[in-house]
Amino acid sequence: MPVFVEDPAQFSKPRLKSELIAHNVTLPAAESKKHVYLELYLKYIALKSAADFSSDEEDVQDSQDCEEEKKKNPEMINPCGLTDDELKATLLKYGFKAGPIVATTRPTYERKLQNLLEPTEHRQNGDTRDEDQYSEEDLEDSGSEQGILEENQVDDIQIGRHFRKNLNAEFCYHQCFMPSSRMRVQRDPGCFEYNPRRNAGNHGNAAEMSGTEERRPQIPLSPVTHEALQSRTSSVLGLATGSPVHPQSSPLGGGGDPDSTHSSRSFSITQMIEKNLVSSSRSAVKSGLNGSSPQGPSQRPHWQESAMEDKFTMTNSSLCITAKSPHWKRQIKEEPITDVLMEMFPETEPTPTGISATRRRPIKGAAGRPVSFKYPDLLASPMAQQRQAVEHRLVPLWVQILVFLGLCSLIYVLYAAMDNSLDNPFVSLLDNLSLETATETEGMLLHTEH
Amino acid sequence: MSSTSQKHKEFVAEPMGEKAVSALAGIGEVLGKRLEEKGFDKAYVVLGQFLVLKKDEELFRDWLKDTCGANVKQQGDCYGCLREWCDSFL
Repeated sequence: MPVFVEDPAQFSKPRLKSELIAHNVTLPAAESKKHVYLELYLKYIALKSAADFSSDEEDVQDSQDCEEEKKKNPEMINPCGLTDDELKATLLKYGFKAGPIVATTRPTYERKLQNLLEPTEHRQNGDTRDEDQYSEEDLEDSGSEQGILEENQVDDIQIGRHFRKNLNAEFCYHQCFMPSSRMRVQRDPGCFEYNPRRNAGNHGNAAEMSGTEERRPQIPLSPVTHEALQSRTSSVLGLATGSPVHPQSSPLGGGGDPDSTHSSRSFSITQMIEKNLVSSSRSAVKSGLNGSSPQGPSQRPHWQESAMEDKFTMTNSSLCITAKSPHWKRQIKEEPITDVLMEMFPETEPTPTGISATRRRPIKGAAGRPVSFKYPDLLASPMAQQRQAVEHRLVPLWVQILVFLGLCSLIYVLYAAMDNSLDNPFVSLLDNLSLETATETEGMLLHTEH
Repeated sequence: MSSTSQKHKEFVAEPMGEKAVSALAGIGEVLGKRLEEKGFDKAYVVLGQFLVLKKDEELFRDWLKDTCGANVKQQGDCYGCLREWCDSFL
């Protein structure tokens, strides 16, 4: 799985500094040289993004030691860089419902998270930070080859991993409106408006690289695009995904934001990913103010937060149900849409990277899928339950009808019998009465005659 | 934990009130002292931790081990004692 990592040695000193700040690493003395920062960066951040082994050991040692060391702990290890909410969200992602995360419970939950992280670490190298992955998948709408490959892997993966995947899918569901609009608006102009310009050559790659100020006036940004962009910059501002951002936010987030437009307009996926990395790392600089963490993921945690907060309002069961469906739906949808893409862009050469670019399409399809498709399980499950209930009842119902008929016949027989038996005594009584009266009258008559 | 200790029975028999942390089953003098150092001086404080961890056995055991270095049996005793107390008094 290709991971696009920039060489930290090429980072500027301020950037290294900001990265370190973003990762809660204590900075060396102010007059230190670049290599000091670089060392620190490699030690903490690169290791973190590669694999957590060393910091795990540190954690184990620390946890067995006394409290002072445990207080240092939060700066040292990965889960400790998270806020309480992020930690809770991450745990939830792994299928663990965390209780309240307070001062006394936090270390426990951090260890729990690391226990959960460990099994997944061994399988995929260099991708321990799920935020990394999410951010990548989010930025590319999880359509890159990596995303698809992983999806194919899902079946032979442990449960914890599976949960994570589901929740990942949940994200796509959560953002089903915003990203789709974003991608549509950003992409389509890029394809249809921008290609001619590039072919004309008056705005080459140089213009693309140079800056946005040139570009912005040329491209009429629809409100939706703005919103989409703001949704990206919203991570910088720590706002929720779909929430409206104040107009000044776009100049504010000018560092990361224009790059994202660029990346969406250019076709080469590698360029795109690089841009995204740059933009995300830049926004990491900004989000460093918020005390949020790492490089690629710097956008992610906020998305997560918002997503998770929304999720908390739902029931957990429905969460799982909704999560599963987009997952397999997406896989199903892949094939037809790639064809559509090929139809739409016949002039684009199917280079390896280009193919991965076309593969991105399905996720858009998944993200833009109508809401009704999102809840097949939810809609189906009550129906199925009803059907099951009916099925359960069917055999007894059959018997019930028989019993009912039997009862009816029995009652009828009883009634008939009662009818007869009722008739008889009355008739006999009446007969007797009439006989008696007849005899009495006869006797009376006889008496009178005498 | 097939058989319950005397301490367990005593603790579970009545509301814990202001009992010291060492009244908990599995928490002896040493562990009690360590817990007190960490601020868990009363049994109800430990109960609070137990509850805030949502009565989760794994998490509580982990916490107890981390906080006072309790071994597996002590963890089990303390967990069982608190859980049973909760079952009857909560």
